[in-house]
Amino acid sequence: MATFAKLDSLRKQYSPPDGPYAVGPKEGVNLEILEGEIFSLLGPNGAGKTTIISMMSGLLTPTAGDVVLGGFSITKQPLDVKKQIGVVPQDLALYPNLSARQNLNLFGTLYGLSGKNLSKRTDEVLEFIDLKDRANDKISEYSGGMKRRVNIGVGLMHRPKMLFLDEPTVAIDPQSRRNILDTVKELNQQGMTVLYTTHYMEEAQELSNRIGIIDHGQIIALGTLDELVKTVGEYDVIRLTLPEPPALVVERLGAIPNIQRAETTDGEVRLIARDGRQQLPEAIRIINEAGLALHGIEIQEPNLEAVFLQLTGRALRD
Amino acid sequence: MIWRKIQAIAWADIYQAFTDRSALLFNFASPLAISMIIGAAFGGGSNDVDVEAAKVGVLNLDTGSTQVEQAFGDIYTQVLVEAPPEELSDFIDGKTITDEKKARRQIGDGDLDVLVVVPEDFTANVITPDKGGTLRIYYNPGAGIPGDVARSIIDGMTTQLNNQNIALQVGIPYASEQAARNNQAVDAAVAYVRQASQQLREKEAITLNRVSIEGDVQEFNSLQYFGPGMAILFMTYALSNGAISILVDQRNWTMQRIWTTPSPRTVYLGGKMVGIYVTGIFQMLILMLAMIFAANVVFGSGVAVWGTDAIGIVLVLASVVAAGAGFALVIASFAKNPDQGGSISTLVLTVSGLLGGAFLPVDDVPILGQLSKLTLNRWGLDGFTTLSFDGGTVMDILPNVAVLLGMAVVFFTIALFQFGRRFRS
Repeated sequence: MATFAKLDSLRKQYSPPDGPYAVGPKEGVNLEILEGEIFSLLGPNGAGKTTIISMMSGLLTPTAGDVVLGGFSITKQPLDVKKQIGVVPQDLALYPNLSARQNLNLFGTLYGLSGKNLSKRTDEVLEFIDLKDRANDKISEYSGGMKRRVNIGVGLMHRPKMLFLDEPTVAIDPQSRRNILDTVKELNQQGMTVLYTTHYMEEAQELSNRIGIIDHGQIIALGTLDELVKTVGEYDVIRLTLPEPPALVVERLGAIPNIQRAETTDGEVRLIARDGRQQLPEAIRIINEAGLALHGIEIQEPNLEAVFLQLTGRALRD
Repeated sequence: MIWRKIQAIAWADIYQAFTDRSALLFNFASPLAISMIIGAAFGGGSNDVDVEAAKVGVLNLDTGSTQVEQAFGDIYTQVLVEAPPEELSDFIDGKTITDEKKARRQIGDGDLDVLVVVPEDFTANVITPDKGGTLRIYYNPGAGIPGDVARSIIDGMTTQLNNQNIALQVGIPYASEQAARNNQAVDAAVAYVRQASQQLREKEAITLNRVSIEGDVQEFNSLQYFGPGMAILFMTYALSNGAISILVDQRNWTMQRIWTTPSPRTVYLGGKMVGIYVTGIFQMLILMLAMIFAANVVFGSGVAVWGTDAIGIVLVLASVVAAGAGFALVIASFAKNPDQGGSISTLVLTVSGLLGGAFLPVDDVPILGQLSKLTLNRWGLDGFTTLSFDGGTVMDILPNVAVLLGMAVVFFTIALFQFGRRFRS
């Protein structure tokens, strides 16, 4: 597949009062998104996902570097880039006192549509997001899931070649989340390139052709799901529910052969272990010796969570 | 294409402004209600807003050969200058005039509000059946409410004297006879004939010739003052809501989303400005029509609340809304968020309204009168009252229009600079 978007040494340096901090290492973020793929940026809140999308969509001017998208530079030809992208922000960027149809018409006009093309495309998008029956109701009267669908619909008005979705499933019910994930897959099947940011590992795993893991403004891992999981080898994550474990116990757990690391988070001890099931009896023995009550055990096969944990020493949700 | 995008953003703002029920109630019902309440409190079409005493001069040339033949001149002098009744003393500051030309000049200069000239042989002519006398009243329309009050008092006196004169005419033989015997002739004559003269009451021997030093006689309605005052004040509130919607758009990310469309950023601000301006114009027009209705139908006054010079009205309207839009944008551009913007706007715009005379005239108040010239409310209000109460024309309100447009240019420049700084990425 050909490259559709290329981030070339992209960096944003924030100054006070917003900073000081930077998105991107000193040499900047280098990344290629291929035409027709779903590329996910996975990282915790504040990792820099929105900043990267903002620079790619021309909202923020990069401190250094450039984004070339569809052959156009965002710093030199921003309007040409914007014609090719649809942006679905994390916030419900809609006018609540306007109806879905009025919102779509407004943004359609701003994307350059007019007349019959505009009304025809508005009907198509309303059909696609399954809101034709409620098209003339005010957005403020919609459920959270319906609002999210309109939020996506606005980004589709001008048939963009690439769609940016910035955490589109935050704070919605499971059914609406399912609906959005299916919508993203459907759009991708129609040939649309998708950049999807999330801090939900499951979404990145389900949707993505490739995943970039981002933390503290830097892309720390990049590849397909299989490639990323292989980086942690055969390590499992053992979660032991153990309220307030003494530091000495955690230290002893970490010292078990084949256990790479032991972490404590939220009443839980996490062990990164090669062949986790084999190490479990020794871990339980140490806990019993310390006279602690073990409330639960969970073993996770290698996944993105483990990758993130191994790379950063923190859980993705931290 | 750019203009169509600007229109689309402006339309979204206007649509939301005029479909928000709470905003409609605040922006339209409130100013109308307040104006009508104030109007009713000050008597709707009456003239008794200000208790400041009017400066009235009386030139009495009515020096007949007998006491009877100088009676009316004496009455005007007594009532207006020498011994005004207690109930009138707060409203009249009278003095005797000897030089008519000088007094008329004083009217033009504003040193005198009303001049009453009782001509020679006035009483003699008035009390002669089939003759009559003309009392000349000179006044300055710019004298404001005190001048109106004084004219009303003189009108009332003249009406009473007309009634009593009919009686005098009937009873003059008796009065002449009595005059030789005591000095109470006029009173006696009046008392004698009052009962007998009811059938002749329609006849008026005294006519008033009212001469405006600067123009025609204008009827005053308190809505002519408080209507524009309230309309401008609430227009600025409405415009501030429009300006703050920029901060709301920023918070909700609708502004940023618009910036991700293939449109220059100026399209967004342009659309917002057009939307805010048109909303202000609509708001003012609706209030103007409502207050005309209120003045004419509710208070039954036939006055033109906003004046009769259409071009002048349009110019003041267009310029005061432009200044208001610019001012609202300046306030919003310095606010950190919509909540802060709302609080600051309410405070600043209310103070500006107070200083500008929206609630009470402040022109004659020391310091405040000068400070009011810093507010768009004052210049807009002054423009509208110049057109309505003073019967002014386009030429009279050009200074107001120039000041308001100047304010608009300054405000828009500051707002654009500040928003530019704020949204620099």
